[in-house]
Amino acid sequence: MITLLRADLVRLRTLRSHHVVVAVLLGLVGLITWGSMSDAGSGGFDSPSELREPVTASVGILVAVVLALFAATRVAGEYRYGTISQRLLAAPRRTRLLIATMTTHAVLGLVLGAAALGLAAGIAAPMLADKELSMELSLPIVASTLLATVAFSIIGVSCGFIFRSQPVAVMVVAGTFVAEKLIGMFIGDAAAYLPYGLLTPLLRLEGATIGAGAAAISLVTITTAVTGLAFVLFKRRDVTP
Amino acid sequence: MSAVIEVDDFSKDYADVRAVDHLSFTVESGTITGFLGPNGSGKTTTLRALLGLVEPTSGTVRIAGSRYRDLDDPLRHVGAMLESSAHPARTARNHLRVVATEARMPRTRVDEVLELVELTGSANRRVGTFSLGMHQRLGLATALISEPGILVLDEPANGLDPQGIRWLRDFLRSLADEGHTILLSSHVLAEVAQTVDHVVVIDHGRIVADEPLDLLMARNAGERVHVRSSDQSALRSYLQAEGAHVSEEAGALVVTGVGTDVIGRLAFDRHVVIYEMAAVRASLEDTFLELTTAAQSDPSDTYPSEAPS
Repeated sequence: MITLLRADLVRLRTLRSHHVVVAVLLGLVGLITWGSMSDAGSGGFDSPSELREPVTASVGILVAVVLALFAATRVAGEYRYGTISQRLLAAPRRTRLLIATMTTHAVLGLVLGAAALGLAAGIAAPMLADKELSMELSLPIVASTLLATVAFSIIGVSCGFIFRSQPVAVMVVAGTFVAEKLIGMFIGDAAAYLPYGLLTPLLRLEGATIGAGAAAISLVTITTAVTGLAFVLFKRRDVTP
Repeated sequence: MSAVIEVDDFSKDYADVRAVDHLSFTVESGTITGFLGPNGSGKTTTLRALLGLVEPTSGTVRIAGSRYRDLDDPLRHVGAMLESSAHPARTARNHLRVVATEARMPRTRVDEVLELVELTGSANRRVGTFSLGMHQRLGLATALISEPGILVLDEPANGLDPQGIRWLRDFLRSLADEGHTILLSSHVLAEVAQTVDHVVVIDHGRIVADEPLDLLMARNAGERVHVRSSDQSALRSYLQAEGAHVSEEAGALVVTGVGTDVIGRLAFDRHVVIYEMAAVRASLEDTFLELTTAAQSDPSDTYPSEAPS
């Protein structure tokens, strides 16, 4: 398993596009944080929960969704370029390969989520201190945000293995956001339990209709279900050119 | 010699289509075996089943005595070259670094295999910019990185120019001389004829030949003699009376079953003047086409597969 993880890290490190994704993502989080904190203290934008929202949303939603898209594209790309065959030659027991891929992306989600939060906090803290304000980034909020980045990374990996096509996997990950909005019009409060809907209560954003604990449990349940489906399909399917 | 690759009564169905039909053959240790057949005959499916990428519908496929997935450290036993195995945006060196890490080989091995396949100068180029020949060399480097004893190569000569084919031939021969066992597929017999010791020919998923190449050629590629003479119809009758098979092609008699010495003597004895006589050895492609066309026209006319053990 360690060998597989090391090889996957070499894979991640040796493509320039991967570095670009990380740089752009961190740059966006930094920009959003700096832009938001510039307005701190004006127009009633001064409570800790209000000040925290741009930070948790940019990491817990933006970073999480981009990581899901990245994972889905990367895994489906293995099928597109035929590299999945080479990976299976090294790790013919498919469960191990899938666990290794999910672990890589979960760790990436955790590290990148933590880095983005650290960057945002690093930018926001001195700006808020100047205005004698605070966003009170507590441990539960940090944990919820990181849960979002890790869970969405794993969901992205699962979508890649389930759909095996980059356009389809991306369409499903991105399209679910739009689909949720449409479905939400018909199912009312139950929409809060859909994957993207869960981010609002999980990150304690305004408009949450369920608690953060329930949201966390639901997100873990959805992630487990999608992962289970990916396991079943990946184990059963032939890998053809 | 012992069998290191065993395909036993292997069949594979894709939905309603039978891609491989009760295929059985073995590959002996230290030999180069050509796995031949037209496009869509089931070669790639069989190789992928050997490598654990495709699950047999029935039958068994074993490599180094086990199913691929049951091998401890499979890359140390088997090196495989498949249609595509490298990300086009990754450099050749980085691609091999990934494979070396998976195979738990030192990084120095990357430079060794790059040198072995003569790609050192292009090591830092992206794979997407490679020519077909370079792709094939990189595929070989990928297969060889873990120093395996068994090589499974899917269409390694595909798209190579004559120099590339010669290079591949010499390269594979040197590997076989070192004791490697090589199973390589191709849809062009002539591409691999000077490389392989043994051939397994399949068509429509069924085996049509499994024997040493020399025997196959001797059995299927009998000499044909093209003859033009002063009296074609008389000569034809004389030859047929001698037991020869005679047909006509562009005004010339095409004779099989007897050699030029018999034809010459017969013509001399019967006072027929020979204007032209040429012995034509059937080409490899003729043999290959003959085998696969025969199987298409009569699906029952195939080699019997061994019963499953």
